[in-house]
Amino acid sequence: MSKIKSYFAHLSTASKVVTILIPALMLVFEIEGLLVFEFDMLAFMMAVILLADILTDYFCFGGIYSKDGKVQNFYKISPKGKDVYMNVFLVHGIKRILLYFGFPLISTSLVFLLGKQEISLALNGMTMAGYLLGTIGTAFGGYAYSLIGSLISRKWDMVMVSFAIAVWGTSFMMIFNLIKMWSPIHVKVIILGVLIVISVAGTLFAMWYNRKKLEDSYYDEKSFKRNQSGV
Amino acid sequence: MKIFQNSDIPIYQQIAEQLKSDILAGKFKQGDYLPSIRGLAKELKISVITTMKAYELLEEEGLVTAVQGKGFYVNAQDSQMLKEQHMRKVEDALTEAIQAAEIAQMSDKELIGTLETLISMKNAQV
Amino acid sequence: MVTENAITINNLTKSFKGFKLEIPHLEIPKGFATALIGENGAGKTTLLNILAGVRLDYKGQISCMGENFANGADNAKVKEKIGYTGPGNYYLPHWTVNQVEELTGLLFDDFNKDRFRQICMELAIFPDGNFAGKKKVKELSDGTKMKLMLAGMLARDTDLLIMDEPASPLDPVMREKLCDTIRGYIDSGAGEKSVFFSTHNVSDMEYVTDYAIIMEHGQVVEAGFVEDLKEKYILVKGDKEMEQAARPYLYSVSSNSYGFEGICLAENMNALAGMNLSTERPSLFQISVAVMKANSRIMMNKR
Repeated sequence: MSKIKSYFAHLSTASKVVTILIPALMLVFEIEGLLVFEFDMLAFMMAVILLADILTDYFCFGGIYSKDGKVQNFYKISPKGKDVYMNVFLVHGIKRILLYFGFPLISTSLVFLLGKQEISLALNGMTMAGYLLGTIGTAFGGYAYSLIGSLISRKWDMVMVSFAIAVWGTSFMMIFNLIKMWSPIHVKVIILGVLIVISVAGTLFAMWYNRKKLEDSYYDEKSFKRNQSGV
Repeated sequence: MKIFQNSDIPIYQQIAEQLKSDILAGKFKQGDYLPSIRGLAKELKISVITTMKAYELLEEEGLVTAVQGKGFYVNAQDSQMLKEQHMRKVEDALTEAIQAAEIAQMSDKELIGTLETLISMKNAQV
Repeated sequence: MVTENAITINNLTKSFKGFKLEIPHLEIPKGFATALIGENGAGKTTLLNILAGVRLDYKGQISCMGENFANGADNAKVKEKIGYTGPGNYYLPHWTVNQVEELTGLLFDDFNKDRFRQICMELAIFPDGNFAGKKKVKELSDGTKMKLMLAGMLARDTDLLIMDEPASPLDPVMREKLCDTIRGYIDSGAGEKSVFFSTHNVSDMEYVTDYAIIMEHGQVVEAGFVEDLKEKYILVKGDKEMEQAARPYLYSVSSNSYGFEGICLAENMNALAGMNLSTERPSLFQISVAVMKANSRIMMNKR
């Protein structure tokens, strides 16, 4: 509980609202889409979630990897700073996994619960296996993009960089959606395999990198320049 | 208390002098504690070490006594002793003046005349 | 004078490329404000970072507020007693003041929210006098960012403040306020609370400095209570004719076409007897400059 509290303290009020509201809102839209428009909008929903997630990431960790960042010092002078720092990343990571895998799971369960699977299957004559592969692929695709996107965007403390990465993310999801619909099943399997590898490797890398960034800040920079003010 | 930061007289001496005259004037009674070193430093906007040095000066002169952890309290002032102490100071200063007058080849008369002039100037100021 | 130490350092070394911090022994007295003075690159930030636990790549033994740590061990206990502000802002720019308040509370059990708000007011962080929690760190000026760090640090219950260049980004009025704050902190501890700060603004901080440590090229070249230093060194002024004769005994000399002035060790004053010179008690600034210049010269000759 205290870990979640630490995480939320790192979010601005707007980011807190977005974190809770967007997935809930998207679920409502998804149900509405299924019932009213007879259309499965999972990919669109995931695109919006990706957009919201990367922007929230900025308001939590923007610039935390930047070269002249001193923020690690703020944690390092606290008796429990190291734990808080790592816990915040941990909660953020878990939230991400829940978001990118939980949402498609709930959404697809709803499709079946409401008996609307025919809508998706009718589209381009998809098979059940193809449909499920596509859905799992969407989850891994969104997750992998958000991992890599945030690793890049945290290098700068510029909202525009995060915004650009977020917008590209939505385009990525749209293109991904087209590939998902029209690619034959063996291509889907290959893409999914690649995405799983990227996701797992990315998660491990992010965990390692967060700790490394903190540990490194206790020691010398590799290329030390004497005349820098940080002597 | 007035502190002149740009004066030739070191600040700790200024403080010591003023506390001394306060003690002699009876503003601090026997057994009274002087303001705490760090409190006075804060009030006067000067460093702790400066007030500390002023208090040590007063202690050396026997006006106050330091108590570990409690501060400095004012001693019983022996007025006769104080007077003698001051007289000794006057003698010292005048001896120095006489020596300087010898170097300047002033006559005794001129020296006494200078002293009288200075006294009348001081009285005129007051 | 018998004093306890807030910090005792033994055999401290830390090597960078082309730079070595080397302090065989150093004591920082308890109950006083100690200034760390030195040129850029003298090793001030490195020393303060080691003491605050922000750097761990050093060798040596440190005893700080009764806690011992050595050779880069991280000591969480001592951090409960230390408040620290860095030379640069250590909050993320997009954090709001409310977030800074909440996060500081999360990181430090002794953080007092009400006191934080009160100090924010005292330090005039918000121009209109109302606590504006939604204000973002990046919207604040460098001086105000420093004030916000100071507020976060002072709202805790600490025994030692370590501040790296706190005066630099502040305007003259705020520097005065900083001095008052330091004196108030020391007074509140009745001899138990100490302050250790680095500064380039020696003149502005002179009347809050009890003990001075002067560093040069990674070494401590002078350390002592300011009142003692002012007796150890004497400011000498003289006419032009005297300059050549006096020069060998002076620490640092600045001269113009009419005369010269320099700092002389009190013990060398005998050598200057007979010359028509006038003497003065030097300011801490004058002592610092003289000691730094003299040591730069010695170092240069060694190379």
